[in-house]
Amino acid sequence: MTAAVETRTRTRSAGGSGWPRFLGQKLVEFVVAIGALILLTFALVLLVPGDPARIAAGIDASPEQVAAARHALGLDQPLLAQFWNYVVGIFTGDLGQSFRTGQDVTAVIGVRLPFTLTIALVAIGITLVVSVMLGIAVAALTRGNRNRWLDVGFSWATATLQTLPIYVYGAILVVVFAVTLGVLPAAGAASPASYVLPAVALTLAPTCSISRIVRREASAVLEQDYMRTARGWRIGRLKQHLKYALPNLLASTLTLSGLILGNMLGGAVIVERVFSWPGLGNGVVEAILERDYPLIRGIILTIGALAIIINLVIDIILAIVDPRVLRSGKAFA
Amino acid sequence: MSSRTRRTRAVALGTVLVLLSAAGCATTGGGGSGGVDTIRSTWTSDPTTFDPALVTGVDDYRMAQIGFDTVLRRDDDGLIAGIATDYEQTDNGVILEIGDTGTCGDGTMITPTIVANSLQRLADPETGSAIAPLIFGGAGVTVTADDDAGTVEIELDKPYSELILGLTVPAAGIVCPAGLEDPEGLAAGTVDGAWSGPYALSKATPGVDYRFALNADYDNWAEYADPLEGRPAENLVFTIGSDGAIPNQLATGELDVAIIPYQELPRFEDDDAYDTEFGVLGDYYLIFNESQSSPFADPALRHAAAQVVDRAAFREAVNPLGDLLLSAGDPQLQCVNTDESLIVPQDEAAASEALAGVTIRLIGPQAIGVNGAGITYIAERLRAAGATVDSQITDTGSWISTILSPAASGDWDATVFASINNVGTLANGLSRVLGPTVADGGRNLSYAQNAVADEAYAAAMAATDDESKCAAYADAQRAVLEANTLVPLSTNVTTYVARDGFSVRHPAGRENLSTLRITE
Repeated sequence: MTAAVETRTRTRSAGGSGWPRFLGQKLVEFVVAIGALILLTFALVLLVPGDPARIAAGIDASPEQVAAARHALGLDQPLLAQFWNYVVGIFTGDLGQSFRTGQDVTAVIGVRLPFTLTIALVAIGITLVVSVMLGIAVAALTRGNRNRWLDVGFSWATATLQTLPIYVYGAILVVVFAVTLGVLPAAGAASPASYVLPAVALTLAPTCSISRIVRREASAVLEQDYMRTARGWRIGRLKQHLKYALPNLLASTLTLSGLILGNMLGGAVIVERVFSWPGLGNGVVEAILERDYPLIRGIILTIGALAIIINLVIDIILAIVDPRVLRSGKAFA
Repeated sequence: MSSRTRRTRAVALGTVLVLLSAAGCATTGGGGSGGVDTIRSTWTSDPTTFDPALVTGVDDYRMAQIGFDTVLRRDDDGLIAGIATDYEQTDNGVILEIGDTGTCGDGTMITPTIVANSLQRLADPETGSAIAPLIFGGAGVTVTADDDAGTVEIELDKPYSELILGLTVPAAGIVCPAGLEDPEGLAAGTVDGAWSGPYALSKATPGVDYRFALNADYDNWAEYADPLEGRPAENLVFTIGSDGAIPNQLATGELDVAIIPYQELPRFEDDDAYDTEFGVLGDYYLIFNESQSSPFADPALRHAAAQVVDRAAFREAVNPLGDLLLSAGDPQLQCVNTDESLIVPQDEAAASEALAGVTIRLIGPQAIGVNGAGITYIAERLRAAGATVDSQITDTGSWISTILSPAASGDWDATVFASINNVGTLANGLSRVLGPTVADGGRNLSYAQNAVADEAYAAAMAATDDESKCAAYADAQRAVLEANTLVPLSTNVTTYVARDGFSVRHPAGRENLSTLRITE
């Protein structure tokens, strides 16, 4: 007992003094990542072939009209001037105008971002709840080599489903639930029901991945002495798992979820195309096809910044949940 | 039963009901049952402008079709009245008789002065309309109105026989005074009084959808020889859709009328619940670069390359629903060549003798067939004849930049040209291989110098009657085809599918969304 108390005290002490250093380190990482993102988004579109002024002016435009378009788009300025304008614009909330439509990029992102965020948040919520519950349930039901069929079936099904590409899920879901059964919309965002299929498509693979991790971690936790003691005290099963097992799974689950959820933003691009969802992912594909540089930059910047922020938030949550992270700066310390 | 249990059950029941009702909403929408007043369709992308003079993309034209009336309209057998009830062709232009049924979105009657001001602005180079030279011919334009006589006269500094057809193009749609006074608002679609067509933009959500409402005062519907059935919708909703999703949305009733990829047609064509309608979007040609940097400066090599092309096989590769071309324009166009003997017959053996060992840089956009299947076909035919082919299948932007940039004239030898003929004139296609080259500020991207063709083309432009115009056009087409500057391939066709209870028509074979109707 004395040793345990001493350990907890050391941890708290180390944790308390570790926060400024931890937050400073994360801030530096954040600034470097954002800086790299700004540089990358500016350089990326310069590498893309094709003349955006010609595209903006149209195939029937005269050379004078193309030159006028080039001037209007600022493409006749030196590269450094373009970069400076780009950086200043980012920090003043002015991401320029779409080459195609002339609309403010900030306004376009403002329309599309809620669609992407909504579907991503719904998918993240479903993924975390379902995968944690499923993983714990399977671990509990297969503890001590019981229900072998479930163990095999779960492993086989999740391994298969997590390897299927999102667009395959998307097509199957549309064929079954929209075209054949007619109970859900096939595409678009016209009604609340429109969220169901894209969210499910976005959720399936990460749910399988995370539930396998939770199941493995839970199997180990369920064999711990404190769980055996809880069972000995005849505490209800639900309480056992939620109160005693779940908190001990949180650190590893959150760490891996951070990585997987970051990837979900990439998956959202594909899902949005499959379901014609009017979010940022669909927008960036259309912008790339149209060589709409400001829109490409703006959307990639937004998606990249979101991924960086998600990772930062998860790092901070992890440090709160598991103070050992403060000492090492890494998860699974 | 405890209050907690009751509450839990109530919440569960409520959730189920909400989900079911949400699911139900999604599959009935505006087009499902009686009392329908909305037609739901799709556009490929956001319109770039709501100013008809500045339209460039296909969806811009679709916007202009419903928002702005033209002075004349096309029907299957010729021209019919628009804002103008009649016209008279003159030596250097046209006199239009303006009717009294045209109405602006703010209720203003459309007068000759309003028409003249709108057309003069379209022709003004300061406006920056890329399509205006194809409507007016590129020379100076003077438009005068006589409100007392109810006429508008368009006088061109240089004769241009395609003027009258040009005036039927959606880009020539009349902009009402409120729009001319506020060009920025016009371009943004926010000026209620700018619209002269049946519909006005009621709500725009970029990337999501565009909603149009019927102008209650509008009474200038086209009187086609074969009248449209049904009634116009009170509202039109165009969602920004993707090719992959649209057929499913039609099948589930989420859309009423939409364009589908031709590969999806078998899902609908034998189903009585759907009608299909086809329209010409544009044409495909093989165009050779005749500048000195290209092997196709040699007429014998152009002839040899033409000998390996099977138009029917090309059509199968890109869109089997298309028509085979015989010229630089689709079969529905006025004065288009119908003489098959002008098409070079296939002769692979003869072609191989000329093409063996020749290096050819072939370029074309990915959009021609699935993943550029049309370019792949041409490349393989040339390879089979012994040529070494460097095939570049690029995005549309890179392709346009290369073929229209004089600085890049040495980077390509032949291109599969995809023309979107929104103007619907033969001049649109022919001017890509005739007249001033892109290096001289013209449209001719082949760099060909064909004096015979140029002279005949000029005569066609100067003609004041259809007979002499078509005779001159025939000479120009013959000269171009005999020089093998261009090898006609096939048309690019759009496939519209309308659910039972809705319809759309393609007058003169061309898309026109003002024909959308509710027929139930």
